[in-house]
Amino acid sequence: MLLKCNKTIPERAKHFVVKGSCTPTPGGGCPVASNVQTTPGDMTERGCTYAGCRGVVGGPVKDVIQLTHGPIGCSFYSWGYRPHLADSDFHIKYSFTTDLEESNIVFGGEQKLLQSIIEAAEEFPEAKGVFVYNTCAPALIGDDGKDIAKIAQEKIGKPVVFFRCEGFAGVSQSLGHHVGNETIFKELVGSVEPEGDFSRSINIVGDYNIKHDIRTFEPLFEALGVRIITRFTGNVSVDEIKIMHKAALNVIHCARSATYIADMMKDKYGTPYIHVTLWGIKHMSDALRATAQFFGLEDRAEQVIEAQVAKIMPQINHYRSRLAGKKVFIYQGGPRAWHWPQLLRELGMDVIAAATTFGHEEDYDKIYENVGDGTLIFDNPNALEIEEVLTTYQPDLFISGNKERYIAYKMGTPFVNGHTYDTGPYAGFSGMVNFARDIDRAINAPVWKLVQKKARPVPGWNGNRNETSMAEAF
Amino acid sequence: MIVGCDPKADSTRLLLGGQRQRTVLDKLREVKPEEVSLDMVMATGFGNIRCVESGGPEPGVGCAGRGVITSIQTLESLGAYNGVNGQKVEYVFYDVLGDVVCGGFAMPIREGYAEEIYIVASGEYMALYAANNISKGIKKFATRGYARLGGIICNSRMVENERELVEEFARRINTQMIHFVPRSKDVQRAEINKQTVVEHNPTSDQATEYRQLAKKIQENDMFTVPTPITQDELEDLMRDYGIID
Repeated sequence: MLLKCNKTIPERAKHFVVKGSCTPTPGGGCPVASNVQTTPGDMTERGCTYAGCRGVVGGPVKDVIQLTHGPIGCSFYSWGYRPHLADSDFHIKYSFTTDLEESNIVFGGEQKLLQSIIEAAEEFPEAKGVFVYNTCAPALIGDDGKDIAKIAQEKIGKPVVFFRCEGFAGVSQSLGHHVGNETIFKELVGSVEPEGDFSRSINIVGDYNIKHDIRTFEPLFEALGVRIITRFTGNVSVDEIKIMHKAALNVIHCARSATYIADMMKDKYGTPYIHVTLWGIKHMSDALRATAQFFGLEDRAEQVIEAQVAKIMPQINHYRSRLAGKKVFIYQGGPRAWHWPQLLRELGMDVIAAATTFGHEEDYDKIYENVGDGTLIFDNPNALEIEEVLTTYQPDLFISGNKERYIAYKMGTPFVNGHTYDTGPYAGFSGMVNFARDIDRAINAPVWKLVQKKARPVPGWNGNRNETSMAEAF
Repeated sequence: MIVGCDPKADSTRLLLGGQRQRTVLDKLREVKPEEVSLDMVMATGFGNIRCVESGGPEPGVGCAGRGVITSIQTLESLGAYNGVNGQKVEYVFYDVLGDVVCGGFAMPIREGYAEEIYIVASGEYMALYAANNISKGIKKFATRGYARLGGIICNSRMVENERELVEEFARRINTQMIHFVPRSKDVQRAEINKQTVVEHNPTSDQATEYRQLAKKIQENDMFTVPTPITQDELEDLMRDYGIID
């Protein structure tokens, strides 16, 4: 399907399908071209491998020095844009960089890297390790950062983990997630063998604790009698990552960015995993049930679910009455586009368009399963396409990230920030109430009544500047 | 296995009967990295030697050093070092160009790929100058557990006092001249026939020289951190040995 704005880049057509009018793939979805290089002319919103590794997977680890090996800009523009909170703020407050300059590129940046690690570790003795992220420039000149990390580790006596996540390595940030998973697994997981009983313990894999999401569901798992050892990666310490292999089960939330580590743990330690969604009533209940079933705790799960659902239903019903029948366009990085259609149905709303920045084939198959006929599904959108979809599909709500917020406002479409949340947290049962409240505020904000009117000529203005007040105009 | 790390991609030409090898980087330019398989970039040549060429951009564009890094990482992820069809790889040779101009070209001697380094030189000033330069690089990395220097292979250019000069140079930089390969027309003859000397004329004296070199490398136990000399010392050395007539 070709949008009008793509007349000059017909290659974009294969990134768009409409459910119901496509020939399904063997996987059961629509054949949406995805995880391929961006077509020239498509002003993509994708990030780079470094962004995926530093920003998403490594960044949330709360007690390590987050050091970028590269020119100054890489560090600044990857700092502070994702609220992956923790119960301390060292990882949010500080961003470290080797600040490579011309002479370091010409003569090599290795010494500066070594010096930076040692200096940062001396300055912040409370840090429990150093994560070093490689960028394009040192990768190009062949700095052996991995070896420097080894030397530095001996010198400072703390783990120094080097991520080979140079920006140019992949087609989007998705490869950075993979590099992050693989490096953390190889360098840290299993490096400590703790004593104790881990028979009723799990890891939450692929939840980044955006605006404290984990606080909404950790108590629910605890109420089942299950302990979370490691949150990969959100509100997590490097020490907890080291013992992650002890868990009896991996519970995967973001399937796109973190199934990698669960697969590696399955191969090496035999740890089983389940895929869950921790947003929305049905999904959260299913997640608790599936986890409980693994440990033989089904009865407790039903009690927890019943109590929690009863607690939120009056509020959910209130919001549903205000939101029923509304149409939604979701555009997220990856899996949220298929996590949320069910949640929105629970609020009486329907998804009419869904897109992701870096989803792979499996993600599009899952979107296909989760939306109704006639839904537009597309890959790696740009601003012009978003404008056209907002205009032609006229959704009542657009859920996306902060960089799309102002396109939505310009088009007069109510907007909720799904990437980093308007208020948050949105996960779990209590988070769903926050989500519903934010959606209600967005859709039913009084301002929308005003934007439908034309600014020129001012309505009700009789031409006499002194006689018309703004109040009369509306 | 031999891995040519020169953008000119001419390390394996004679092992493959003059055929130009499809290089790793050529292949990466055509298809997606995940679609590259080992048989696309590896050919088996004379003596069951697996031949790989890193390749690189045309002269004057792009970054050949990064090309070497990319192709060695690709080989590793394709499992080239694990052997093919159950046949183990016994030796891996990296043919690296003499002017290691950036970190990328040093890749094979770092990160644990190569274990031993042999410098091919002759008794000419520029060749020894380059050999001395490479020694500086090896020394710089000496504390980091990288490959050690196993010796200088003298590829004779029929220079006066060549054997003595190269032996003395080797001694000064704390290594050995592991073998003196004489100059022979057999090399050109074999090359015209698009073959290596050992294949084209296995009973020739020159082929015997190469076998001796191989044996010496196999039995070598002298691995050192080199002590490169200054340019003045090198010039003095040339003057002392390089007396013409």
